[in-house]
Amino acid sequence: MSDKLSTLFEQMHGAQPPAPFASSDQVRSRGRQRSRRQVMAAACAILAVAGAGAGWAAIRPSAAPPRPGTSVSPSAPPSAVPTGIPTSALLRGPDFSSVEVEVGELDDQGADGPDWPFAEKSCPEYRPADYPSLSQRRSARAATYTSADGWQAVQIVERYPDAQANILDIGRVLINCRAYAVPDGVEIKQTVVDQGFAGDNSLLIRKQSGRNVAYLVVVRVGSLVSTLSLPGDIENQARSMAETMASRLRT
Amino acid sequence: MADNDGFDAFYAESRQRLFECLYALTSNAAEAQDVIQEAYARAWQRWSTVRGYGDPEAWVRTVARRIAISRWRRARNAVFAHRRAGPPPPIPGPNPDTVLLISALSRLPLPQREAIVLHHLVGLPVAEVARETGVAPGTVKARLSRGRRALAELLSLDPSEDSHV
Repeated sequence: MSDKLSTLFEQMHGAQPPAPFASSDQVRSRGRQRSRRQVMAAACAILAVAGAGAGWAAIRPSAAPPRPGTSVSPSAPPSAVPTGIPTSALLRGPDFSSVEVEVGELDDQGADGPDWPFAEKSCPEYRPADYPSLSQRRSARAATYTSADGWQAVQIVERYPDAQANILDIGRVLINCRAYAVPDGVEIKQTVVDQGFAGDNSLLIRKQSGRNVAYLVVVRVGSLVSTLSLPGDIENQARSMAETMASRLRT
Repeated sequence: MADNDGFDAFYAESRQRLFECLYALTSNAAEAQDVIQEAYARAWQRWSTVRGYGDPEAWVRTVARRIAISRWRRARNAVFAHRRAGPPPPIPGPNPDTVLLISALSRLPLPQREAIVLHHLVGLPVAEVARETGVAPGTVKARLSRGRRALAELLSLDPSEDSHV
């Protein structure tokens, strides 16, 4: 290396940061805060699955199949239902840029409609009473997005007077049901891949149920919480849906 | 627990070096400071393990580089830095040559910049740069050579003075 270049690098030694270095106490405090955030974020990793590998059992079994006649063309959103959640809050067919899907709205709607996506019914430690925001849910609306080969994503949009409290409840699920095996022995393993990348709150969760992988995208905008389940090991596609979900919630 | 099992001393002793390294890599002092604080916070979270490593500083440096790279890739670093600290403030008493070097480094492709900074600023041997960056030593040498040549051109230095590793 030239002498001049060596000199330039030598002169870099001692470069001062724009503010004094944080004290070690402050660093440790940041570490502790980070640990707490991770616990809360990781809490979102355990999601409700009524059966191992189901990928999405937040929907009541009775509500799982799209109601005949409610499927609409890929370019149109599900039909309007007076649930307090506008149709525009749901995704549309073209939002799934990598696959052509048919949109269907589940017939179990309203405040008592689709189960909370994080109701971990298979977890021995799960008790609905532990999650106070659930009783406050004002409305919920669910839709399916099905491709010709049977791949199906499911979205639930919920409205809460305090949606942030619902996000905290998502965190509590993990605290109570951090890891477990469903009764038939399949282990559920879930990881929070990312958070805070869209909307007011957001989470990207990888869920492994036995050999099956699914991604769940959670986005909060104001009082609305939107959760999308996407089967398959498709992190990039899942992540790319978050901004679209957020923009739909804003409309 | 006095000195938190050595964390305080480790932090005090290594933070300046790590700041210089990340400043050279990010070209943004505020961003570098935030990145290294995050890296040290992560080190503290698992200090009982990290302190047992042969070179805890290498672990923190690698974590810090990954944090910085992750932010670049998500194209959000500027937003983060702005939210946390506003526009990058001027470095107190900036050395014009340092500013020039930082500016030139920022023009290099990331792999070359990493190799140059780790080897010439941090002082790691080629083999350690290779280990930290996960590439073969030959690749590091090539990156160093190309990086030095590019730096020389950017800084209007005589590239013929370039020497081999």
